[in-house]
Amino acid sequence: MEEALQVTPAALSAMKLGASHYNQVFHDSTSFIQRIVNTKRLQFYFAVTNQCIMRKIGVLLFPYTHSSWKRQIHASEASIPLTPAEDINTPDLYLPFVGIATYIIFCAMGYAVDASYDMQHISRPVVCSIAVVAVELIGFKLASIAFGIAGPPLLEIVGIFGYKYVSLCVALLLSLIHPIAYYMALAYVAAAFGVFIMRTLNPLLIPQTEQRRAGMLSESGVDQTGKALMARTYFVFIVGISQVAPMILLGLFRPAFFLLQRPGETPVIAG
Amino acid sequence: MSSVLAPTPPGEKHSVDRFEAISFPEFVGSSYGNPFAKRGISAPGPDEVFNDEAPLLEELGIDLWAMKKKLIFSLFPFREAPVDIASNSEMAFPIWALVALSIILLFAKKLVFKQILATFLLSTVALDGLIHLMVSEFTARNRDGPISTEIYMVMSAMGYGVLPVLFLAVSRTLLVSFKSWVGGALCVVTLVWAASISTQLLSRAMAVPQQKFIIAYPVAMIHAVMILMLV
Repeated sequence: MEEALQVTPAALSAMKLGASHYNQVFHDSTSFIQRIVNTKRLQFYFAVTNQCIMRKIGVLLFPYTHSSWKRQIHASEASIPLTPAEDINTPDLYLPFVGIATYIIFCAMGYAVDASYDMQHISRPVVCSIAVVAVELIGFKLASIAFGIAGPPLLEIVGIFGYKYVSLCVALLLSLIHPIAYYMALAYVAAAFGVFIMRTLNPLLIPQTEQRRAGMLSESGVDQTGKALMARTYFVFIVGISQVAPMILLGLFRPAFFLLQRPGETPVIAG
Repeated sequence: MSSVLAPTPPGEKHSVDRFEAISFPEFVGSSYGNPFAKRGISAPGPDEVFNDEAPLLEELGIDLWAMKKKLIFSLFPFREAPVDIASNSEMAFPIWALVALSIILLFAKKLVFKQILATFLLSTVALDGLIHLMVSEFTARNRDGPISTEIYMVMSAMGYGVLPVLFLAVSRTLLVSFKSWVGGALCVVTLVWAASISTQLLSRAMAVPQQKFIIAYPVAMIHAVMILMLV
């Protein structure tokens, strides 16, 4: 910044002061935001690359093409976790975050093109998506405590359940063409996401009794008693099936306009 | 303590040099009692008062050469931006472009000052947070290059992407109706152009080539929201 501008010290120091103050509030490790939010853990889940995101979207939409769902371990040391760029089975937070933003913008965009501006077209999807994320997080934590299953950490749960917004956006894109196309796409996408979440959660949930017996977090499927295995299987199955309901609920906010509409045909009310 | 408006003590000559009084270092070292007094110089004529001052644009911090280089880059953003253009945080053009966009939209009977400025500010702050999250020591294993991202650099990169939106606004108010397919095609071209400008400026300054498209997508969404405001 300094070598290009030839400004007076007053203007330059004001600009530097502003930028450094912003950095101090948001990015320094001593500011109050850093005390509330653990930025290092967040940065771990945002360490993604182009190819990683493309492959993840492919796994989301076509989970039957993916073969190995187990989380990999670092080659030399077992305690270093692998970033989402290095291990495709690590959940990341970039895709859910961008998926939620795309979903909200899509819901608001249809009405913007029609030149009718109403704040509730933005606020309703926002509140609904935040509520869905919170309810799923709390519900999953409570259910995993009730079943006696040790689940993945909090941010990973948000990531895994947040992938549904990406699949939902794909289905919403198809809703622009025809309402029937949306229902077919929603059915396929809900099934695909159910399979995805079932196979993702399977290696991650290890019953707590087994954990204590082994002394540490062990490989899944190695030593499981019958009852623990059945509890885990039922739990994962119920979680997978119940993902249909949030997807239908979130899809209710989509705009009601179609591109390939025959002239004279009134648009169907969304829902 | 002497105030800026204190009358001159009798017998002392002074020069009415307002710029020198306001700039801080000179104020501290001013002569006793009178902040306006220059040491040993009598009351000047009209030429001498403005001799020691920087030109107006430099005082305002508007760097025209950097602006010209960045604008020429913005016209054809499909090559890699040089580091000195990308890391330059030139804010005069973004501010002017946003206000000009709002004024042009007044011709279309749309009052969008608040929406455009608020959208730009909040989305740029959010994008800076996202970039700061994505460029960390965890991506250091895949990347080589400098880390520093400043808020003004991000704002400058997003602000130079407003240039295509300006062209679109002019064509919307004067030339084309947006309900036809020509208007839709123009919108798409503008969005691609604006997103490429901002992405090239951001990706070069951060030196993360593997993350270019995943920064391009939020950038494109932000520009799409601003384009939708003028449709």
